[in-house]
Amino acid sequence: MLSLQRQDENPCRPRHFKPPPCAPIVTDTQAHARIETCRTRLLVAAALFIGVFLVIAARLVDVALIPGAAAEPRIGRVARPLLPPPARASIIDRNGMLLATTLDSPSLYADARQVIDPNEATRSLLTVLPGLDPTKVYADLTSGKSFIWIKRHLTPRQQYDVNRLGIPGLQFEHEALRFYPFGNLTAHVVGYSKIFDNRGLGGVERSFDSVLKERHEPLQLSLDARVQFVLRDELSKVITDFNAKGAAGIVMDVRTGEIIAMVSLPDFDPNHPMGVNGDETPDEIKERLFNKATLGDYELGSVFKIFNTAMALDDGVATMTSRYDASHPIHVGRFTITDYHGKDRWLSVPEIFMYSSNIGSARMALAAGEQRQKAFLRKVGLLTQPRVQLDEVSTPHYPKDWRDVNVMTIAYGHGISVSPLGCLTAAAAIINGGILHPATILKVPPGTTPPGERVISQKTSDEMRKLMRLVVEYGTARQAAAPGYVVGGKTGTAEKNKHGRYELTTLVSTFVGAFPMNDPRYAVLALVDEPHGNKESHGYATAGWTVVPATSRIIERIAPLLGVAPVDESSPAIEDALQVKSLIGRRIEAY
Amino acid sequence: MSRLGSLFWLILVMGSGFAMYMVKYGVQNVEGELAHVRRQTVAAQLEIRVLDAEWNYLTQPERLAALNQKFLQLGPIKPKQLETTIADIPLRPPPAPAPAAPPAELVAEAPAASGPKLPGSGLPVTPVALVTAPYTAPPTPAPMRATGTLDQLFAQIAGGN
Repeated sequence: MLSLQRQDENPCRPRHFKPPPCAPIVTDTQAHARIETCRTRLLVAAALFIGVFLVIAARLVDVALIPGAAAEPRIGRVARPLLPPPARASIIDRNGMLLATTLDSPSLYADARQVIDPNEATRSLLTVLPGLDPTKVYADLTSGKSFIWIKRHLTPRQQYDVNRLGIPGLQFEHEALRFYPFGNLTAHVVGYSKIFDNRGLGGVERSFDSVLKERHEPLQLSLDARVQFVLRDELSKVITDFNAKGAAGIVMDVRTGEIIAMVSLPDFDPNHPMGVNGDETPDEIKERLFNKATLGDYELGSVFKIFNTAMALDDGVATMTSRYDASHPIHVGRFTITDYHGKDRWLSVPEIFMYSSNIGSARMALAAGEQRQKAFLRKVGLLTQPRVQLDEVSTPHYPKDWRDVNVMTIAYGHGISVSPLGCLTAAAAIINGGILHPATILKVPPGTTPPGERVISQKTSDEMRKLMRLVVEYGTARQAAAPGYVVGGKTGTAEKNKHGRYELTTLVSTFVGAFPMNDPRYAVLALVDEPHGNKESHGYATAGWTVVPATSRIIERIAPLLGVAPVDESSPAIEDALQVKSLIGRRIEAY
Repeated sequence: MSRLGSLFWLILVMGSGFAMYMVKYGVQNVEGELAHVRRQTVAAQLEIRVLDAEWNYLTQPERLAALNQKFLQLGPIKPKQLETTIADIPLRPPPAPAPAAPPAELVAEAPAASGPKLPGSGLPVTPVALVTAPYTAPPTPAPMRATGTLDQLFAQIAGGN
């Protein structure tokens, strides 16, 4: 009874609960009050639910209709890098040609336990991979091992062929492969690497090792593969023609210090740096891996007269009309300084440069003195290791105590040995208006000029351009004339110092040139190591007969590639810019 | 009324459940497709890497020089060939005033070989010799500035020979 009554008293009771007929009648006021309480509760509950649903609705709109409003990452829209970047970034040249790249190459291995018919498998494998050794393959397939390499690094086509054979038990494992499409062409600059432990062992591969490991985009070098090819091609010809031991060459942009091409011969194939067949001795391999252009240091001979003359002119020791006595050899202690193309008279500065007079240069250097000479060579970077982003760079060798005899020999490039790169970097500064730019192997964005350091005045640079033009017009480098490209330069033929003695038969012939001389853009250095004269050169192996004609051909071939237009060399503007006024009207002697 | 309401809600629940089911499987399919396309893209990118390497391998200057020796024998550009630049070539003179007779008529008359004769000469004027007509580009058999692929270009070059 009690429970029924209670039920009846509850206004919120379910409808099908009918109050028993005997239930006490509830008064109006009581019922009203209860209904009111009930409504309030209902309202509160409803408001709560509405509130919650509104929040859900708002969130739905937020998620579904308003793009980008959600704070959490929108997984579907994020463009994930699909392909994992290669373990080592590619290296490209200034025009985007691939110099080194990492490929994911399939390697073939066998699970010998699954091979059903080793005999047949060997036979069909050899039809698609003819390079394999049949007995070894057969032995491998019958070895019973679960994993044995058959051939590493297949091309995609070979992989397809092997797959098509459908031999059970043959499988592929993908391995990274460092590939150098141009082979020998850029061997020393790009270098080589060991892909198994992802380590660069030479050139850019070594000096940018950590960069290449972390980078995703290719690394762009300042090299131009086409120019590189021309340089290598012509230097190879010099080596063959003159039966030389080796050669080195560099092409540099004098305005930025960018190395456009750098070759050292003999070179190697970075795809097989240790040789293919293993028939080379370790010494030969070492010789091939050696970068003569940066790591080699040579006494460059008369090429140093560029720096000697620039020093004398810039320091005011000499002017273009100064004259020095070159009529007699100089005797210093046990040394005798003579001229190769002796004139036996007093010579003016342009004549000393043009005839490459050792006596005149030595006298000029003596007039300047040891302090000036040392300071100047240090300023143009010839006494310190040249700055470039490569590890294989040699430090110049020069005498510790710099006596008068050293002053004189250094004037014409003996008694100091520098790398070809250091020499060309300094020469570029002399040619380009006097600003020394450190050599760089990375591409400089077009239109920008990296900061440089002024080492000589614009006036001295202008005078040096005239002198270098003179050498090509009338001097030792007449065969470098590449008509139209206004070439200028200086030759140098030095005897190699072997065990403290200079040997007349082992020479290093060098030419440092630039073009176009009225507004220099590119400097070229060509060096040939131990050339031997041939019939065409009348037995001469000096620079004028070896590297100079080669440089002429190099310039003729690369100038159109580099966008240097030929000009009329006899036009008044160019004559005016490059003529040595003091020599006008004077007889220029042959020698 | 209440039964109708329940039915409505029931249908709505079933409907939305079905729609949900469809969307879910739709999404699964699309995701499968996406994964497939991704795999294909990766395969294609790997292939591009290899092809890029192969292209560079095949176009290495040394090989091109050998091919040139074999097929073309082109030499280095001589300075003489560069003496004249594009800028030195004079522009085409402005078109002459329109001819008195419309060219269409001349073309129509020409095959008759009794067309207009040049004054002072007995030569019949062929359509090619329409000296007074403004210059028109000769009709090219195959438009070389085609926007087609490299293959089409090769086909054109092969066809041209």
